[in-house]
Amino acid sequence: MTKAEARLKEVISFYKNKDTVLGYRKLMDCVIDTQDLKLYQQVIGLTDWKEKHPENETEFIEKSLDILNEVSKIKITEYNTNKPVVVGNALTKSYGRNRFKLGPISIEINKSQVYGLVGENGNGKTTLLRILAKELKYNEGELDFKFDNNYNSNYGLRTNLVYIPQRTQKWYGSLKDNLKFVLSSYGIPPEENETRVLMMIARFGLWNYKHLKWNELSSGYKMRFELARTLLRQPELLLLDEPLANLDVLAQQVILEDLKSMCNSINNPIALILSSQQLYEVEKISDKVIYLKDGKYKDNKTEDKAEEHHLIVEIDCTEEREKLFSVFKDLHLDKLIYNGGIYVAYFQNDTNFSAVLETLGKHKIEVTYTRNITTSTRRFFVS
Amino acid sequence: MKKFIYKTNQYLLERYPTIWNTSLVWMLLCAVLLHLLFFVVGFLSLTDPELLHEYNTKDIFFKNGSVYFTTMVSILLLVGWLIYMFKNNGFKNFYPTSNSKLFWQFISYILIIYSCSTFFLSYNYGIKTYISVTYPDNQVSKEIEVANDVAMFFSESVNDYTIDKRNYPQLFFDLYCETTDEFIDKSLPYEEFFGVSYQFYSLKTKEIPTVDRHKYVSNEYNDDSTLLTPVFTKVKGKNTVLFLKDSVLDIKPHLNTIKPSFYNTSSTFFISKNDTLNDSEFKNKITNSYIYNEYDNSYYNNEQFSIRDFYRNKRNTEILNRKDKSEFNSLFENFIKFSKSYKIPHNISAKKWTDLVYHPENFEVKHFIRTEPKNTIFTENTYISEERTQFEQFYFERITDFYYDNNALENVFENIEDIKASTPFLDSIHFFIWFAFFIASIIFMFRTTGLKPLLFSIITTGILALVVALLATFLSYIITPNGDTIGYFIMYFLLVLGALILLTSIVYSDKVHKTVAGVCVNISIIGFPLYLLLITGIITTHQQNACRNRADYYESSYHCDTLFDWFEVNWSFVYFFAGLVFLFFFTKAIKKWKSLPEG
Repeated sequence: MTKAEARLKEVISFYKNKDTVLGYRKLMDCVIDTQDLKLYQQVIGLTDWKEKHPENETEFIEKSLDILNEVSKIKITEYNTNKPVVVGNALTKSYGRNRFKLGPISIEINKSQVYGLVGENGNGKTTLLRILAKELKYNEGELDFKFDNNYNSNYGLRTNLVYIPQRTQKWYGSLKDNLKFVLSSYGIPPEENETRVLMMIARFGLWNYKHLKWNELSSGYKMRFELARTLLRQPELLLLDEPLANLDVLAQQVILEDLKSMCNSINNPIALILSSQQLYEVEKISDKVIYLKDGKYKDNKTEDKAEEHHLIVEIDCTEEREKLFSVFKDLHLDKLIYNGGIYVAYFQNDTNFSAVLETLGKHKIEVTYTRNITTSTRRFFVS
Repeated sequence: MKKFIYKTNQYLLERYPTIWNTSLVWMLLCAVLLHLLFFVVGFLSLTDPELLHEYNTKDIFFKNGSVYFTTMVSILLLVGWLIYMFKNNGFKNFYPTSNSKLFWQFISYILIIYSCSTFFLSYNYGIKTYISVTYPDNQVSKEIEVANDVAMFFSESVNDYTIDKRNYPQLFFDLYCETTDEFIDKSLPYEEFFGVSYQFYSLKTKEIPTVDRHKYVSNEYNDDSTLLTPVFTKVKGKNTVLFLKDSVLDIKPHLNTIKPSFYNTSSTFFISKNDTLNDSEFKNKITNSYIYNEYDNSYYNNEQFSIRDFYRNKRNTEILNRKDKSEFNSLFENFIKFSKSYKIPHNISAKKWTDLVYHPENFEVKHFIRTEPKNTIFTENTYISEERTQFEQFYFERITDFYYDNNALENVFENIEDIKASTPFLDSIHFFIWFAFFIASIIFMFRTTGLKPLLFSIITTGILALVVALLATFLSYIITPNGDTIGYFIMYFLLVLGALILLTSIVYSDKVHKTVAGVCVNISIIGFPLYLLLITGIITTHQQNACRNRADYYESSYHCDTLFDWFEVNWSFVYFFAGLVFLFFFTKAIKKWKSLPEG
């Protein structure tokens, strides 16, 4: 079964389970990958219909399945994602003697991969992103871009990568005009412009806001607009600095999900690096999470010798340290760190997380929250 | 309408993003409509002929406040445009753009700024069209002809009618009449009228090289000035012809009367621009003016002898000789008729005027006419009359209460011809293209390099100007001022500085800090035409210096052929188009700068 077929199957199952919101987003991803403007128009028509008939779910599912049927007839060429799109080797950036220094950092990323960049404030996340975006000079190392699109100047190169800073740019005028301006600047034929823009508007849930002005949108929708604008540009590398800041929990989830599906496009994948403070959310969608501390690099795939034999559990409870020591005495607890709010317990590797949960339950410990952070970069934050 | 605007915008947005972004179509459309409006305003602004009575009505745009109004409109229009245009900046966001697209963006700015700042033109073309339509050439030339005929009867001042003004028959044109008392040889024949003496001399000529002319200028060290001082001079090639007094001639046999007479009037009231009589060589004040000695140098007399005066006097004489009262009457009727249409202030009728002047025996001037209404509070007869000379007394005894403001009529003709001949477009093109160029450059800099480099560029330019000025001052202290040394040093210093800035922006932008490179890019955008001006200036200065050292410099009447003489003021166009061509290629450097990393 090809990737495209698998994805179609997944979308159909969403519909069968009446997960129409998620299903419709996935359907649109499938349609976008076909690059078929007739199908785009069908989706645009369906979106419009759906907004006018929000109650009529059964008919909506039928119409969606019809479109999926059409999509299944179109062959989608898979993009070979084995080659890295950017390779950075031993990159260092120093802001002067005795001042902050980043790196050396080596990094390479393929299309369809998502890298999360985490770390406390002031540890070089933005610096690294800006270096990769060619916004900032680096002092040593090599940085090589291997884009498919031809370019003959640095300006041409930078049209193929998109860097969205934490404070996104202000835009004026209607959303739709701004998006159309992107496409016409990129030389899309005029007859395709409207359709492609509306498709993207539908995909990012901006249908009812398309005639609004940028400053009339909430933060979440501004980010959606930014993503729609980015996707229209079809970059090969996307660098996002704190895209989740200022978003509520639900919006964060939707944006991350959208980013993931943008990157995982079958025939037009994107390499994505995003920085964020939302550790768990980022970890959920990332292929690799990079942790920066004092400009030094660690990722969640790194084997940490000191920690390799440990099960690391984060526990939020009000019990005394001595009580916890006594509770875990049979579980080979090596150390218990209390950082003022949360305990981090290091068990020997032969201990299971389920045994920890069982022990906590058995001793009726009032736990507000617990999590196994053995493989999470969270452990770098708390250690 | 709204739908049409929306549709057009979408059409442009999908096809021509640059045109959509710069709002070129809408701005040009607005500009065209406003130009039409200002054309109409200009067309209607001179409907009252009284406005033509003033001197230089051509400049009414600056006098009646239109300049402030159009400036306000231009500013509002351009500010509105900028607010709208600054909304989208594809270049800033690294949307793909070709060098030529970037260049056309700049051209759009120039077009918009030029069209939105030149309402002055349509206003003036409105005026020009109104004048051309309302006062057709043949009508005006007929009126000028009539006015020139009537002018001999204006009877404004005694001086216009004394015998020294006579130029016809030929004898009077050839002779020179001396009126300065000190130079009148009373032992020889002369005429006198109320205390003023007139002695007529024949003239001889002497040709000398122009360079020796100063020897013939009388001054207080040269007592023998009467013989040496020419009464007229005329330049002929490298030589100058001096007209010197020769012998005194008794004029009495040729005169009917010594009293002021219409027969003596020979000045032309109004010389039309279309006049074909070539008397230019006689009109030049410097070559033709009477050279005074120390006795009379406080009084500037612009006496000239022009063939025109001869013809005028001849025509006047012919009219008078016909002694046809009805002809006089119809001439005045005609004149009063168009004077009325121009609303020239007067209180005289054709019949009255004929009666005042028609004295067929010698056509002596027996009455004088005012140029403005009689002042009822102070009358001439009670006002310091005891200090009047006999000559003045003659005038005051004959002055009537009639008036005709011939100065207003002269201004009317002058204004009509001036406005018809005006070329507002050509007169203003240099100012407006450079205005558009500089404003467009600043906007272009802001759009491509951003606000910070733009501000730094302004600061840097100010500092560089200060440094150059201080350097010049410093040098003038340490070096003994020796001709152009400091000038040359500064020019070459600027040449090197300019070359460095250009090189940095084109070749070495990645070797310096991005902001420094940005400043160089900005200065190059706006400074290239000035750099060309500097180069032309240096070459011209060298040529002039070389030329001054040539042996024949003084003989060639101080003329040097320099690079500047090739195109003169049209160098402006050369710089302008060179600036555009430079910018076309420079867009590559701008894109290179934009994609440079910081730090």
